[in-house]
Amino acid sequence: MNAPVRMVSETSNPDAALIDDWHVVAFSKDVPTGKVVPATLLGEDLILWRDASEQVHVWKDLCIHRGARLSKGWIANDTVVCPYHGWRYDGSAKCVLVPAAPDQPPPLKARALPHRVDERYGMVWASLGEPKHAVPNFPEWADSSFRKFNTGPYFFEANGFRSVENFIDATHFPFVHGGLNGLEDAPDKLEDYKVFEDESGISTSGIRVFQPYGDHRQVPVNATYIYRVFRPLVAYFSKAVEIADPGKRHLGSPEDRFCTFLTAQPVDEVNCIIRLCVAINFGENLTEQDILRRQDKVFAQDKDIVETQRPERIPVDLRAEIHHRTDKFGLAYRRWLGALGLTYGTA
Amino acid sequence: MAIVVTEKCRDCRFTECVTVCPVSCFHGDGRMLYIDPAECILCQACVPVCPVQAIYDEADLPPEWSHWVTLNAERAAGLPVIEEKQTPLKASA
Repeated sequence: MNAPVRMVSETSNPDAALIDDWHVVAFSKDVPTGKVVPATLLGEDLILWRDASEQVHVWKDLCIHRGARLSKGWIANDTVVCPYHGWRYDGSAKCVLVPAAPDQPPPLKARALPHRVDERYGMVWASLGEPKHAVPNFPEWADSSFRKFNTGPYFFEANGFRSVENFIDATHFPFVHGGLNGLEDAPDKLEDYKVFEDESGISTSGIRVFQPYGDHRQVPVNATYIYRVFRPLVAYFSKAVEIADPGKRHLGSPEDRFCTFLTAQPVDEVNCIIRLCVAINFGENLTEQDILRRQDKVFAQDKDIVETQRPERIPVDLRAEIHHRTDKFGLAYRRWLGALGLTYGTA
Repeated sequence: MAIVVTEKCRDCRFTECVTVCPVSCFHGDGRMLYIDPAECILCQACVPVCPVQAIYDEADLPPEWSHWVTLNAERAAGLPVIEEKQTPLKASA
């Protein structure tokens, strides 16, 4: 999905804190060898491609020769071919062939413009600058008792921060996800919870809610969420799920957890792409389809509401909008974004 | 513009306000509470929960209590944050 190229006069420059950070730009499975995949990050158009040694590359979507889009090109002999004059760039970003002068070595200046790249949790991470933090640690990723599923991408015509704030909000369940994560006619009274901040981000103590279809087993559960925000556009929850019916509780275990690692790709200030890695340590009989069905439904419901929020950019002035005690974590998130000095995507 | 605690709180201090404040902007001593105007986000959640109506929006403040705006700012700065409900100093409202 390529946004229109912005003229210099129109740029709203992303802050250093976003430039020098990792962002997910694709699922690994969506970047097979032999394919040039376009993406947009913080208003910059990119291409992704995977070379024959399985290494992924993220480059600016631009051929330095005449400014054509490499995303209109293709892969040949493990190189990206510019669609305009056929210049070929290899995995080191070097031009290895100018077809109009096949006998000469290409100019040394003829190079693609690469960005930093990493692959974690089935996702391709890129940074437009020099990352000041490592890719956040998804605690359950290395735990073999959890099955993992990538779900999404979910295309939100909405601000990434608004979308993350929605993800860490435990009071919208009865209304946005009625019948799934809450009951519209019997919304939970939320008990007070604690908010913590440390070098790895912000987090909450446990927040307990009743959910009629809180996990993929389709049974009512008492769910206890612990939320965490690692980076401005990377968040997570670990949800302990206890079967609500005491007579059936033995069918589950006190250790049952359903965890979600969420990333929002900031396409620009008011569009983002949500990708998840879900980890679940129960329900061995649940199929990937069972997982996807529920995730897709929940995130379609979130998309519908988050896309309506105005102003589109999240206010980080805490006196804008109104905050309730039960919004404590969202409030902490906004305060934290403000303290990072973010202006891009904020109001 | 500020939200201010007034003298009606003195020696009363029900502290319902601290249980609803989203930003922990109440500070207190042994007798009453004060709002730190630098932290307060003007949500007014505390105004209706005070059993003795001791908390005012500056715009609604009786003129004889206008000095409480400065008092809140000054005293809050030197006192600890009160985040949890305290035992009220008066038995009844």
